[in-house]
Amino acid sequence: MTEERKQSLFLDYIDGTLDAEGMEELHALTEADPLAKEELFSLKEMADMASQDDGMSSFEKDRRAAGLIRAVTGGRTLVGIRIREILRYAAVAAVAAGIGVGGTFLLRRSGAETMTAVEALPGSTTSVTLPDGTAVTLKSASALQYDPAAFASRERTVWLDGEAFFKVVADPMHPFIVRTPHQSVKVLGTTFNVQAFKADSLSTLVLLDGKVSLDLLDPEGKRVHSLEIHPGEKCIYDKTTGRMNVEKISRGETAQDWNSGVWYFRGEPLGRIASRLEQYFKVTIEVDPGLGREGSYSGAVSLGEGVERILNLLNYDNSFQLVMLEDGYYLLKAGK
Amino acid sequence: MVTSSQQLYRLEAAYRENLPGLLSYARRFVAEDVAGDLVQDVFVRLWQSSRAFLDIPEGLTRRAYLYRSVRNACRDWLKHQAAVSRFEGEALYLMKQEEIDFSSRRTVGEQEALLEAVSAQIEQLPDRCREIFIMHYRKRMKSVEIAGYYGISRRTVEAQLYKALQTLRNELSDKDNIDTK
Repeated sequence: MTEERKQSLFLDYIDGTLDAEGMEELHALTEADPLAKEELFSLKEMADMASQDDGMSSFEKDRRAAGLIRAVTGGRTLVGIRIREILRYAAVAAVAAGIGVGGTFLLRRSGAETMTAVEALPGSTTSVTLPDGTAVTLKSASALQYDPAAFASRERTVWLDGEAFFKVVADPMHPFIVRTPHQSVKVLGTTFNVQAFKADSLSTLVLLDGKVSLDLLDPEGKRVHSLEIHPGEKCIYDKTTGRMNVEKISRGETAQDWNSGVWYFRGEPLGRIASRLEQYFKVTIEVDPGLGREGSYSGAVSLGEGVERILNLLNYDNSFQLVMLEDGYYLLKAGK
Repeated sequence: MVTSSQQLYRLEAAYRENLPGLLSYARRFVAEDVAGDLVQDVFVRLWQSSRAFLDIPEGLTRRAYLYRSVRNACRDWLKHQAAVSRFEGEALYLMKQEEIDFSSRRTVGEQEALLEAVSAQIEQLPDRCREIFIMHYRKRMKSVEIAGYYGISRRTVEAQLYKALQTLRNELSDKDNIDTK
């Protein structure tokens, strides 16, 4: 065998790309020549050491740890043994698709001393009239901040974490701006709804009348994209994938609905719906990783119904079992 | 008396702690997905047997035990594959078993020392050689891709890779050249 052939066989073996024929040839060589065998394994060892990863992402560890716990508990006795500990992983696995990591939330940045903050507690809505007369309905578990001093003199800027319905008083000299972690909505006078929980992957803007320009922001707050939204349009921006979609709002999706907390979704995976309900109702909802993560739920729910009723609605086909926990729910895949 | 949930907690902690190293080790002999299953199986079996393992404090003794268990699991799997495959691909399973035996000549401590020594030695490679080496083995670029990047032939790339591995081996394969902690 030529030195060149040997080198080629060795390198392919080390990379794990050697075909069956080559493997036979290499095996014959190493059987006949113990020194060549020692050389091959020794080189392979060097390559293995060189290519060893520095570590493993915590998500990957969580996923695998959940697998182990499932295996040793048989996946069915979950409720008996410290369910909280175990479910942590299930949750991580299930919502990973829905929640992005990072993202500086502007609320924190804005010097809280001069700020006025309004908060709606989980399960309730709050109405507030801003200094300029703009009416805001703040939805459950949402917070709004603004600087009253700046409000009067310059742009009317509010910072939102959560969901709010705005009826903006027209004032061409002072644009009204809604900042969320990933959007900046600039309007003159109009009626619209913004849904942007900072932990949520999706930001949704629904415009009912007037015209707004929407800036999509990166985690540093820099503008990455600008567009205009027209009445009757809904813009959904997924910060995890960076994908944005503008669509006509469906029939029946009216101002009244948005203002009264009706929530529409189309082809969304259970994990993402659960993470939004979590946000809204401030409860823990963990989803069995065995429940499909692909988009499959479409419909509308009235958030006033309460989280348990909504979860039962989602379970119309009995695909899961609703397990009650101390501070939330676990959706256990049926048939386990 | 340690309760079952506390034991479960310890099992999980041990798994998390050792997972990256054990997976890297198993991947040397079996495919990625098989490696994950085998490492998990080792912990499942620990759980199903005496669980005395959980009382061993984290350290070389425990790591040695785990590496040995993973090594045996890999060897059993390869033996089984060789048996069921009959002739098809048998050479691969035989080679991999021998590779496992070869790897077992180093203790866990020696292996960890070697890992560090290799990292240090890579820095000593000539510039171009080191770059190509890192592109291939760390960044997992194919030889053709590296060849395209530098505008050189694939054969040249492979010669560099081979030379680099030989250099590392000459410097490090002798146990005496590595400081064991």
